[in-house]
Amino acid sequence: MSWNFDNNKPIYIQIADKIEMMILSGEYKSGESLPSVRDFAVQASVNPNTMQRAMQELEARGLICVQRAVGRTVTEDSSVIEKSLNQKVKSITLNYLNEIKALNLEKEEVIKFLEENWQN
Amino acid sequence: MLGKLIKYDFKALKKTLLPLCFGVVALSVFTSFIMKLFYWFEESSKNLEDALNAVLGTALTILIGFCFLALAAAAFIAWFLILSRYYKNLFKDEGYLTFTLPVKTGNILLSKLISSGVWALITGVFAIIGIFVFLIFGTSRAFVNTDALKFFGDIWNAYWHNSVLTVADYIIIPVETVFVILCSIAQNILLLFLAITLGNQIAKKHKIFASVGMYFAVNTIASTIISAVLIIVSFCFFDSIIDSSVTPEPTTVFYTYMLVVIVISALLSLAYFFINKAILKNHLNLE
Amino acid sequence: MSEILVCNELEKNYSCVKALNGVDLKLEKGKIIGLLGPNGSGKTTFIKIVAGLLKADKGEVLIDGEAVSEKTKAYVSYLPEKNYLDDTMKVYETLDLFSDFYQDFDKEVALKMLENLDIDLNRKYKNLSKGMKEKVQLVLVMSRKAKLYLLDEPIGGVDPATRDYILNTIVSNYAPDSTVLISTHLIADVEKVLDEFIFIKNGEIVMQSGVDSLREEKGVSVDEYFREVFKC
Repeated sequence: MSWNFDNNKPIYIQIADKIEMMILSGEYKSGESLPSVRDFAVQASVNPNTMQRAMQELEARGLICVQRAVGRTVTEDSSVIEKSLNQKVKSITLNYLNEIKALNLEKEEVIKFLEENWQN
Repeated sequence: MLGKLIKYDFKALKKTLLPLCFGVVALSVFTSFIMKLFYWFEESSKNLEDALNAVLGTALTILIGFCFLALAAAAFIAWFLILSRYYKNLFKDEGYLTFTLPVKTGNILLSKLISSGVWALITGVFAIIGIFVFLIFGTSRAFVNTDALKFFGDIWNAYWHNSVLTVADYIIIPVETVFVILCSIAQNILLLFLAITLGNQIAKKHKIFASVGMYFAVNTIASTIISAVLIIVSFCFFDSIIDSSVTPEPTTVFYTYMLVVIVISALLSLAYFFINKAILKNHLNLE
Repeated sequence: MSEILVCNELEKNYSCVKALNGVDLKLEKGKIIGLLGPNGSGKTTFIKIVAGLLKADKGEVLIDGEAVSEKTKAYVSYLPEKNYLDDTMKVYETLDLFSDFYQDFDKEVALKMLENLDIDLNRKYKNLSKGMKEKVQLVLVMSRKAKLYLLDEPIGGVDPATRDYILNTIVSNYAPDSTVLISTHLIADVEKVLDEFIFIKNGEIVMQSGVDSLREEKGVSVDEYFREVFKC
């Protein structure tokens, strides 16, 4: 399965964002080791050098660490993941609110709508 | 790498030429059989109705004609197959692989020459076998043509039991014959190869016509040069030939003639080879 | 030396058309690079010169520091647009041919890939479908551990599934310090596997840049930028 990318952002950033989502959603758990750059690149059908750069980006964000012999693992520092998750939730929520508020709805109406649709 | 190239060229030629070789022998066996039918028919036709007689006779004659045509065509087909391997493997799509192999251009050409030469010889041997089969089995009413057998036996005896040839002759004749055959095969193949290469380089379309044209052009140029050289040489040595008081032995004249043929063929082969190689190496344009 | 390919003032003329008009180019080791341009821009001509099938009229080509010869052909793996295998050969015979001539050919890798494709090794090449032929050729070419891969329109005229297969094969098989040059006009499909791209127009290089650096600087994809540069 290959990944799809937007046109306006650098590909390595988009890859880093995707892997971050995988970590935040628990697909890769804290302390779990990640596939090698090459395997990851093949899985996403992207250039290995770009994948390498995405990994460096994730290291810079503190989400993954490089360990000798083991390779790359998801950070064991849960506070980093938590912080990142909070940021993500916040930014998604703010985006959502921006759009929904433009429709001039009441808070209760929005919450009701959210509850109704949560299951779907 | 030359060995590997030859291996693949040889295999590729084998795929098309080996069936042809067996086909030639099978065809001469078949023709011999039809000839037998024909002889039998001639003998017994007196008893048949005239109309049926005519139809059967014509049919057999036409069939025999076809068999001979096919046998004659086989030689042509053999050359066509050899040359089409050269053309396809160098100048058509396969050329994209041939010319990106890590081998020297000279080796590519040499491999084509050796494998084509060997197959020309093999085909020739099969053709001779075919002719023998026909002469011995297809030319008489009896199962075996004893006259033909006797004729070959006489030639064999005349060669081995005579007072003219010396021991030295028995060595020189086969050696020179082998060289004449090898050199003339090489010369012919290389001339045809060169013609195809030139035809491909020069023409954008109708490359085969261009190659045929190039064949005659190169051949004409080569024979003009050779005649000129031979005339000059014979003028230079004219005096010594005339002045010699002793008439040379007939074998000596024959040997000298063969030697000249060998030298000329060898020189022409070398020239064709190196011109071809230079073109392929420095001006290759696969489009 | 970090360059695998250097070209200086390369020129090539066909009877009356200028196919290449002074191409200067440097390709670094360890990258996948797209040679992008419309049809007739000189992509194939350029690749053929590097592969050794055409002679340039002017200029020089250095592959890993050497002029094109049988020596460079030993470490350049070239995939043409055409079927360049002998039609009458069986698939396994073509494998033998490659391992006989190319020392960098890894037969095990090729066998594994052909097995994944479910190709019968005893089938004659001419009895394979067009798509299968292209795949076999790609497998042969990518099973070499070459220094430079030259892939001429590897994804032209194939269905999207095959396209993915081809791109994956390229990504998963090229050796880390070797360079892959892919010529194509289907940019959107190859963009994510490229490090760099080169725009070629009327036989001239008009731009060479990194895919992500273009996105960072201009905020557009190579595909969008291509449409802008080559607008008719």
